[in-house]
Amino acid sequence: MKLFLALELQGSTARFVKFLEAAASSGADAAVLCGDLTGSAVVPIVRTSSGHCHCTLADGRVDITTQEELARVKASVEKGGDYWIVQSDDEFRQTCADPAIVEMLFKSATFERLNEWMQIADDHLRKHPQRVLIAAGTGDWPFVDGVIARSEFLEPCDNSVITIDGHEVVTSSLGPPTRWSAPREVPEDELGTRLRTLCAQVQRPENAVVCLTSDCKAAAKALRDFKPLLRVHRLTPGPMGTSHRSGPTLSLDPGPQLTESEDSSLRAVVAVLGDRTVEEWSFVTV
Amino acid sequence: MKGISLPSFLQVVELERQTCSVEVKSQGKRGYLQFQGGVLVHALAGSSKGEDAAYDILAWDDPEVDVDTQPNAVEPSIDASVTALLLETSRRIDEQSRDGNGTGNGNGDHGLIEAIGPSSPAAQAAQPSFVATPASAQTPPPPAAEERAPAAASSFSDTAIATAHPQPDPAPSAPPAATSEPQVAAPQAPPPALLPNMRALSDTVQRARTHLGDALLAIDVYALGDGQPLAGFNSQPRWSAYLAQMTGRLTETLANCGLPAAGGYYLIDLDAPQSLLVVPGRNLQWSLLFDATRAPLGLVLNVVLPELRAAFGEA
Repeated sequence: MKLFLALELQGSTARFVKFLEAAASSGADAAVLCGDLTGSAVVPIVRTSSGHCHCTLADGRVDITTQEELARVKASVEKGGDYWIVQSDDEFRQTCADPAIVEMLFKSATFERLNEWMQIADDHLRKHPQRVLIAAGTGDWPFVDGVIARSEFLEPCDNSVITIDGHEVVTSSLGPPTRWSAPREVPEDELGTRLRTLCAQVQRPENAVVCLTSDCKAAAKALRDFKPLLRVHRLTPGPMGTSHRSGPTLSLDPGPQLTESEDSSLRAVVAVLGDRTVEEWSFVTV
Repeated sequence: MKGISLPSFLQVVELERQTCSVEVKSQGKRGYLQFQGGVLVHALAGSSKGEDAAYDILAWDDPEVDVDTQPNAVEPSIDASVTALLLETSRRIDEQSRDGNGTGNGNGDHGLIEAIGPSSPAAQAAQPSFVATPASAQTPPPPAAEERAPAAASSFSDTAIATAHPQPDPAPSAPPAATSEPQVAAPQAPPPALLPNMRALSDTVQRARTHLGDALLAIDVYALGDGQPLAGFNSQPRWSAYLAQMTGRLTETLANCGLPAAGGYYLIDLDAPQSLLVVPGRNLQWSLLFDATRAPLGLVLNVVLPELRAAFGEA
């Protein structure tokens, strides 16, 4: 059974499209996409009284004087997975002063992007049928699950065990506490307990695949006892993918999606699973 | 708030089951939409109220939105979901456009269809090209820091202001272990920790009634393990018990035949002009009996069915 797995698209529509297309062309029996699915920032584009706009990107302040420049900035923000909003000076000041407004702008923008993804996915999967499992990540708002559930073809898989061709896929969006206070963080003890409860539903751990978007000691301990066949996660801070084997378990970390990439490349894992064995695997960049 | 998409904003309120009053202002007009636990219960705009007021508000251009999270109690005046209201608003705008006295162009280009999402056949019919891949999918990504914050952790970036950290949602603290599982699951008793959200189930029953009207003859939601009924309309507890068993046998039969597992639902065309739609989930199952001559199959499969499946996640 061939699996195509990717994590942390973080709002990038370009990578989401690549994920769908690469999963289809890989000939995988199924694809798994884990979070974070949503972008991490709303970029305010401030319109001044003169009619010109300005905003601040990673490279610094950008002054915008034409519609073409405005379109380029919007596209640049979207390509990075973030969201933009055009506001007047007054609206910008009002937004900055009220975290509740920031939160609702962010959530509405997140909803719109994800809603668009569901439409793209359904259109693609209608033409190219393939099982595609999808789960939010620790940094995704809870309502993201509700948007995912609207898709006709994507299979929500968060905190569940789904069987694909004799291999059970376990996915969890829960993560340990961090300085970010992400929406799906839970205390480490609770995380370990929940993972063990989830893994207890698996009939054949020796053929199971575990996908985690966050990692911690409690998760590692739970999985050491569980001993799945394959574990895919994001753990290492470095730019490269890593692999290691612990007993019967092969752990693969494809590395972060490269946000500075000039071609919206997608990092993913392709793995061919047999009975109690990972017959082949590779990190791919598409 | 200005510059926000009102349909998206309202659907977030619905998905997060918020209780709030949303004040909407546009071009000298003012209206209110009141939510109770994510359900739109009341709308007021000028002299109109209820669904008519909601249709008016949803059609306003460039709205300014303000939210009161501690609204006064009101008498419910609306019995329709946000999605249904958005679709109807879209239809009305197009109708006005065709009559030559509205702002729409007849192609659904007013932004409501896109905001509703993929589950609406009306949406797909109105604007078949709305799933076009955005330009950003064909061009390179922007520069950004290598290590990014978790998605919902930082929210509003500009060097003029510090990164804001929205509060984590107080809502679902438990993992959505019972989220919609589109495969037919073998009957099993639900774990005690996964008690269903009865409000969400009742709301979904109500939505099915709204969508199907008199064509809906009966709807039930029940535990897949023992057929115990949880919510319904014209409930048939005996059917629930038998249909829970039937799903188990169907799953077993398909497995014995070496066939793939069933998809997310099965539909039985009965001898009478009635059809039975059964939607199994991990722990719960819905069954819906409807008059096939009065409810278009497209409406059932593309509007009602996605809502039922989404309700598994909510419940």
